[in-house]
Amino acid sequence: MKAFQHTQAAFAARIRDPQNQPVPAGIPQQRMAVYETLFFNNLEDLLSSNFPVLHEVLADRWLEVVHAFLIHHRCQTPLFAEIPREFMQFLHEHAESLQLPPFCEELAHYEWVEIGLAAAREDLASLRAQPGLSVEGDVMAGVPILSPLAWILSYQWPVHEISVDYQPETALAQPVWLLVWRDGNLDVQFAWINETVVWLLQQMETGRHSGQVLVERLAAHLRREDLAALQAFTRSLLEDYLHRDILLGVRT
Amino acid sequence: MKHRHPDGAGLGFRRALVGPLDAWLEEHAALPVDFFEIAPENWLGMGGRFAADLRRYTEKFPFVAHGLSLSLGGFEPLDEAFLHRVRRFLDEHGIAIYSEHLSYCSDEGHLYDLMPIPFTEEAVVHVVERIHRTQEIIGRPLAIENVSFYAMPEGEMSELEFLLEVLRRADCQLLLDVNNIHVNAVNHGYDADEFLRAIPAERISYGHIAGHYQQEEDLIIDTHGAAVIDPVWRLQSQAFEQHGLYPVLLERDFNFPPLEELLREVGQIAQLQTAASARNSRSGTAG
Repeated sequence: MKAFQHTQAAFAARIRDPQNQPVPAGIPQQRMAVYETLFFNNLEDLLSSNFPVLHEVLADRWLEVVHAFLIHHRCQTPLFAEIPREFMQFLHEHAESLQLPPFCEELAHYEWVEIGLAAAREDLASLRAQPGLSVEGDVMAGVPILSPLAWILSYQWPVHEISVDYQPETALAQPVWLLVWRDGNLDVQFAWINETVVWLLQQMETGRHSGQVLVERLAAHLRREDLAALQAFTRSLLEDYLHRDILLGVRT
Repeated sequence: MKHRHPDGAGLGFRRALVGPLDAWLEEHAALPVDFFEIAPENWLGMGGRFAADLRRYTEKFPFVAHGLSLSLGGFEPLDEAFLHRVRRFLDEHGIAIYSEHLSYCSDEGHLYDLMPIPFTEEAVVHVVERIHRTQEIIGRPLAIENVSFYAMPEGEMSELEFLLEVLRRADCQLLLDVNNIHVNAVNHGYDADEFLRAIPAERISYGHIAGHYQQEEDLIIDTHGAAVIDPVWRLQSQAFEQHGLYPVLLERDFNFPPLEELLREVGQIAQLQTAASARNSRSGTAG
């Protein structure tokens, strides 16, 4: 490292950790403090607007967590929209030393999902343009194809209910499942789904089974023999999902 | 997309402005903004509505790109993978000009704001090398911006000497920010007029003008969160007089007033340009 680079490193180190790092030589303390405040507030603003519930829930500990992020994490992304993911990675890597309530990582993820999906690069219209795929096809005869903009998520904590007044201490007995998707109007939609629907969606992720085959597999999975009822259920679910852009289309 | 060069008076393009701009365009035949500026770091890699919004505007208006995270003065290796992405982004949106700060914003990780480079000979050499490499990758001339700063690490030369030396040796362009000249003149007690006079006119690619926050008599924070003040307008007018006309845009990053108010300030840039152009043609006839 060259001499000026040592100065640069010391300057950045002080911004990251004003409590423990010295003010670089020749710089008045008040002027250094301008940088310390600016950088910290920038990051704090960005994080609290991306994680409003986490911010509220952590209350007095929030600023300490942002400080720890600045001190211990080295963000690698040049892109501002990816800073929340760096923060989530930090929460994960420092879970033990931070000693936060155990639901924090999942809560952060739940808060990130909407913007994460809103900004996802995939484009529904161009994905639908692939040959052999139709939004008109019969969902039972053809193979229903899930949209890559439909995310199937599970949480061990009731992330949607957590607030300042409700901070559970034990995880759920059964995980909750969330389907999040971006529709053709570029809006992000949420739906809580049950285990049967999750199982169907996971089968569809293979991209191999027709709606009819899905019904047969579902019947075997549930050990049920009333095929007609399962068929009606599956057809109406798939047609609804196609209509709501959860399905990309039907491969015929 | 074909590259389009900016001209006239512009405005910083922010997500928060898309709604107000759309509403304006629905009610008016034209928008009194000649060009926009975006930070690739806020838009690159974004799909969905963000990409669609940006595309609608880059199809209609010329854009320039103003980088935030390249860390030209940084000590970690230049992020070339990122620069390749920037280049594709510029090409996709027909953007001819890419600018960055004469500053650094990272150590072993990003800090997402600007820190002052120590003004030394070694630092000149280092920055010049990185500018050359940047220009190679992006396939365009880079414009470097004079930045505002609040503390000056120990160095061997003045800000002006450092800036002029980098411009000369890197043979690059300048994004001239008159607000930053004013801010630094107050923060470090130098003469803004003298600084402005020494700027090599032929290197100016385009300019910024912005508002700031005066925290103390001798300390201004460059917030881009307020209206432009009169001394800065005067500096801008002087810049046109001394260095000729060039495109200038208003930077406003938060504390957004109604769009009408921003457009009034953009209009004020255009007025200064018109006045300067009238003066130039008069002196042209006289000479």
